[in-house]
Amino acid sequence: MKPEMTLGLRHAKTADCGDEEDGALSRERWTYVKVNMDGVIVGRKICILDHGGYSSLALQLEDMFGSKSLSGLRLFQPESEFSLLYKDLKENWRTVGDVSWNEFVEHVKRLRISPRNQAFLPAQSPF
Amino acid sequence: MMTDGSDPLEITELRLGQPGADNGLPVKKLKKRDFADMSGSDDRISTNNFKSEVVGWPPVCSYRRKNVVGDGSKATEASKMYVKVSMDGVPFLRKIDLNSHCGYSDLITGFHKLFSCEKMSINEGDGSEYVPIYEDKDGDWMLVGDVPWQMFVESCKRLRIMKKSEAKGIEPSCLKRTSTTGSSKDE
Repeated sequence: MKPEMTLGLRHAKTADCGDEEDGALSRERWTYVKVNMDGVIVGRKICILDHGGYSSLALQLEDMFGSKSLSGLRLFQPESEFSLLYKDLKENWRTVGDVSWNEFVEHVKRLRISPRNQAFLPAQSPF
Repeated sequence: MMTDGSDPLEITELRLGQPGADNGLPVKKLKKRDFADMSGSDDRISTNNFKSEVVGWPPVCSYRRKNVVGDGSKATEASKMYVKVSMDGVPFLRKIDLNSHCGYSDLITGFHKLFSCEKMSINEGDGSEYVPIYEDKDGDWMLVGDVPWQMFVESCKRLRIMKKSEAKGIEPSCLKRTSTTGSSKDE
């Protein structure tokens, strides 16, 4: 992974592709991150730049995965049964919401929705 | 070795007529490198006409094919991209060329033709019985339709047309209220 592709690239969704070997498609690939929910075979992909903040992200994830649970995801709400985690560029799993949105966008590689009481079992994570 | 002064290559020229006879049908003789008189008429056998009329000849290099496709994107593979397609409940697999489809709806139409099945859509809310998923290069199974088409084509390794009931059936019991019947699988 080229270092120059990690910083600021997320905001260059439609950047010029003249100098990059893979062009705009390679840059665009970075804006899409996988989302998996524990216990669900099929993952989804979201474009992180479609959102301006955490609440918008939570809404889309509710739309995608809310039906998997009777009470919905209700991410970031105190009564929620789920935690939203993300894998950063250093391959560490972290809790979504700990840092500013812009910082999150720059570092998120992958997302995971897991039951709250199982949130911190990275050794068992298949992702 | 020709000794009578005639064209030494005459013996290699193709012409109609009995073998060994020099009075065959009035086919214009072609010198090996004479292209000027070529008219493509059927009563002439010429190696060069033959080549141009045979399917798949001359071979088209990938550069030329790429430009004919007209996408222009450097990341586009103009060659065929066959992936396996399986459908739950169907005992045979099929193969589909992703590059011969222009988008997701076209792909779904392709599925309908392959399996003679109309009960499938990528729109989850329309009551379709099946949902298409794909295995990407990381080995993860993802729902078809989330990313731009070309990105999907490049990352798709195989496809599966899954029954929706299969997707529901693998939730761990901790995600469901205990007030339900307790069965963790929808049958």
